[in-house]
Amino acid sequence: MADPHAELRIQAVAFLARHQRMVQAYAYSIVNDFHLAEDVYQEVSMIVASKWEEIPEGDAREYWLKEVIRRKALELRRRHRQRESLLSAEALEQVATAFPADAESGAIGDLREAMARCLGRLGGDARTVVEARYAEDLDCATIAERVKRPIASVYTILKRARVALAECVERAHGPLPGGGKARA
Amino acid sequence: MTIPGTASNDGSQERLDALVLDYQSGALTAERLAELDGLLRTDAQARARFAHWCEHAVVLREVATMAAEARDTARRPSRQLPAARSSRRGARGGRATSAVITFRRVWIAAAAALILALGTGAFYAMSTRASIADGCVLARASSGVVFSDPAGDRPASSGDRIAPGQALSVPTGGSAEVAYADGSRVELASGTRAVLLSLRDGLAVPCIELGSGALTATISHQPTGRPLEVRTQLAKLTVIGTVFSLEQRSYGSCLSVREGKVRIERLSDGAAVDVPAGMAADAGPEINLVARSSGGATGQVATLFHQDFAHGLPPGWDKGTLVEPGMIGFDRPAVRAVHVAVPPKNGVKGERLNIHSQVLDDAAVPFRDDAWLHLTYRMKHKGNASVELFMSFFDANNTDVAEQVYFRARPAGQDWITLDLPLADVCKKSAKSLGAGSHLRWWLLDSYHSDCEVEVAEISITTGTTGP
Repeated sequence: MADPHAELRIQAVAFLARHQRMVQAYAYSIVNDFHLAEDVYQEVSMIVASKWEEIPEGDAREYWLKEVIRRKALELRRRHRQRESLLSAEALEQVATAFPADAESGAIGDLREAMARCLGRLGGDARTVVEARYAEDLDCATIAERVKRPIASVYTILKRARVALAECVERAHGPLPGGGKARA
Repeated sequence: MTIPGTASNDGSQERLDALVLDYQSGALTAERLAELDGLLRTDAQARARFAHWCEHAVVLREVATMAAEARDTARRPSRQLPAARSSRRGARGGRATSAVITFRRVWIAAAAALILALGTGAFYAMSTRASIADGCVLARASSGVVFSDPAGDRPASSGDRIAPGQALSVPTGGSAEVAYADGSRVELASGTRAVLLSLRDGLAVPCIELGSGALTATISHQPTGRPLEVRTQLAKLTVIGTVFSLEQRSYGSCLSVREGKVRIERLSDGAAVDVPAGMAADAGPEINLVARSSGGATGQVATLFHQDFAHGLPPGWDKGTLVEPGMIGFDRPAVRAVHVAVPPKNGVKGERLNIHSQVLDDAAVPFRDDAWLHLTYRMKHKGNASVELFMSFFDANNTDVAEQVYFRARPAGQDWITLDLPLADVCKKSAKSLGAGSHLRWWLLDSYHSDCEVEVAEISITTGTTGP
């Protein structure tokens, strides 16, 4: 006879797998820090695992999930005394609706593959700065010290690199929402 | 994209993108933050674009980290194991540590959370421990990944359940990740076809069948008596809980173990070998089934001697205390040096700290001048300590030829350091005495001047191209 607990476990794992990207992206939009966003994902996973039977079903489940992400992200910000400026509570609630809860797997895979190809084409300082920021999670001040440039230059390099990557990805993967090309 | 109240070509989109990207870089002034905040509160398209930039950042993070990992792996000496890297928490504190530490962090976090929930009973106070046989789902899939059923292929998407007995096919250039109910995870490489959960007599069993291609598995500790099996046409792996890669090649099944230990059995004759962390083995009709260094070329490398402490100190161990690992996955069982009194010399009282191996069987470890010595060790305190490694070989006439290699104290810390040394260099003082019939009798790691808490996690001798 099938183990009912096993069935519930696999339901929870499937739910987390389906929403992994959304949880990370929404959490990142709030905490603006990859490590904290990953901590949010871990804590949300714990809650999903421990409360699975109590979580509302249907569309309400996604509202519930986004609310948990938002609260956990804000809690972690407070806990880690993040000082960076934060978007208002109203903006953060509104933004939640823009994150697709259940992204198409194939689209995500395509995006990742396109990004990998485009990153490989990035060269020079742009590559160095992007890797320092996104692979090593260094802040821009630290990157500026490392590359011996003013911090304003690092901001500019990052911005241009992100736009170049987005344009490259758009060519392979489709446009950003709104139909316009990435610019900054 | 058009921001309400503005024309699409008036630079408003460019300004929004600049605001979002500067927000993500931490470069926004209070005034510009207020501007972004206002847009996000009032404009749905601005919110959609903001969300998409966030998703881009997360994907870029993932891709950049994996690229750094791939580069780091290529540069890393063959014998250096993941445990030799900094801890993940080190990244949080220092922020400037190696990029590889974040590799797979996101999924590991989720897996850890699930395992914790399952292990502590938080998951509905379940009485039974989760196992791989409880089921699995597709956690990630590139385009073109399909479920292969007798009725035909159908597209697979992340979050899809994978039924027992169902085959998953990854196209060339694609990839996929599978998550199990117990937190285990398997990555399928380009061109792989595998059954992720076998079906026997109508029941799911903890078995993965690799038909073609390659997989990398991070397997949670399996329940006692119910190990995971991984099968190819040529070999069967028995897995308790480990990280390993398996590739089906034309000449055989190639196993490489990163953490833990895996038993590989050749199906044709039942020959089997235990493959520990950092080692590899190939099972095929014309290949010698031995554990070899994972850095060497297939068929060219053999392990002459291997010693780790995953199962405690071996019988007959003379000097050294066992150190249990602190954090699973980041620490390793090892042996630590103990105080040894030595006779006074020139009136000075002697004291040293030794790790002294047991006496090895005669001729069990032959000397080979093409061999490499691999030593994984660490020193918690540097001080003014010095460390010497002695390798005692007996020559063909059973004459003891004590050899010694001296290496300088490395910076103290928690990180494991792996030395890869040509054995011929280690033994160069008496190269003429060593030859056919010479064999290792014992080895000794000796530290003096101060207690640097030197520990050894692994020592091995391999032949072939396994140097750094």
